[in-house]
Amino acid sequence: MRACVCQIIPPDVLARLAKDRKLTPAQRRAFARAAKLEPEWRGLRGATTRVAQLCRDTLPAAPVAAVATAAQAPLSITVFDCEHGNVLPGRSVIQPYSSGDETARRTFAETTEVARFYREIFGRNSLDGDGMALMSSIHYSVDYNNAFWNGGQMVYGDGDGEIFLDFTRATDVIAHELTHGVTQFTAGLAYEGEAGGLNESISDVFGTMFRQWRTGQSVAAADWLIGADILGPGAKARGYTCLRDLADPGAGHCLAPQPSHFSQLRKAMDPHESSGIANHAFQRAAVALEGNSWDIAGRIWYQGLTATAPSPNLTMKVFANRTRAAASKLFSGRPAIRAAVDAAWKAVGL
Amino acid sequence: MGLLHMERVGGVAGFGTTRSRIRSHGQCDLATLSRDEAQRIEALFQSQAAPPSSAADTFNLRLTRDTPAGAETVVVPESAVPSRLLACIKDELL
Repeated sequence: MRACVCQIIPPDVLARLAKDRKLTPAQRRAFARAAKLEPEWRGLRGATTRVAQLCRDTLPAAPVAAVATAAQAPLSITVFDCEHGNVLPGRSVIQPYSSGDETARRTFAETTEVARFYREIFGRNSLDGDGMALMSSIHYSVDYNNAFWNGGQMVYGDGDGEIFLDFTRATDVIAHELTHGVTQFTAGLAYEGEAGGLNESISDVFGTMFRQWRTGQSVAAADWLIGADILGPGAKARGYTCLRDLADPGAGHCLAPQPSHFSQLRKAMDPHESSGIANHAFQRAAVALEGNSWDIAGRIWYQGLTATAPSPNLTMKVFANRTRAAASKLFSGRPAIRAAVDAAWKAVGL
Repeated sequence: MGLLHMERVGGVAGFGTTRSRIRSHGQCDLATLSRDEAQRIEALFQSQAAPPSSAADTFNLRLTRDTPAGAETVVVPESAVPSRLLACIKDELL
């Protein structure tokens, strides 16, 4: 019955199964325990997000020195092994940094690096800005072609070895999932409509930025691909090189080609499709600004994401304007930067 | 009883988007389901017990079955579907 206690089964389904006389007593007890815990977990995640957002909006800003001290405290970074089951979080991996499991070591190392990236580049202390522990589960399910953020932790599949490889092999994918947490605790973007596309784009933008930062790549040297390191031999043999391409969202070498202009946006478009518009705007801005993507364009996008109250239904147009305002504010003596951001958004119809 | 068609949508790779080059789908004969499986599937069609997941990059499943009134489709979280049925779903490149 291990698969039946997954945390995202709806509570009424769990409650019904807990009373189902066709199940064994042990099975009913397992569902009853899951049903009892499930709303608590959901409530905890929601409350944690709301408190973090409320603190940010209402409490006076801490002195810079205090923030710096707090940011130096080591984060709790843990890795769990699902052992190919669907139960989260799975078995705790003791000392993942020296584990014999390469996936565990890599997950710990890259999660640590993402935390360092956010701390050193953007002054952010973990996903919630307050030192939140970072939990990852690896080896989820069997041949599972996905990685996701479930609202409280990261989850990685091993891939089927044909279309996809182990999802932890891609540093941009790890940063993509962690960034969903940052978005949750800041703008709180919904996962549908334009806000959903922005939500996915923010994860792609910071994912690719992290991959470039990790290897010291300038915008000129970067390939702007998402997921290039997890494509398996079957996908490569068919000519695919990535999930998405920020430089050319509609390209044939993408497994999931996207629109690159706002005029191509359609209602009910999946967030992984509509994100191409904002993805391309960031890439154009970063290339125009030259150097490293995280130095100027990244700071502007981060400001656009974090500097205002939560906006679950944020539109692409409003976000574009926020980055224009951020460019003016952060780089007030350099009007060319604001002009480059403006031109990038105009190029995608915003 | 007919067939139950299943398609995964979403995920970090964007399965099932209009331009996606990757599809994940399968089907099973409803007559072969256990009583528990059949009840769980019926509950998914009969109620809003399992609204689509809005957690980032998680999979949803588009379930379709034929009825006398025509095809009926619901979108539910992957976690709401019995794991034995999920094993019938295969990923493929287009």
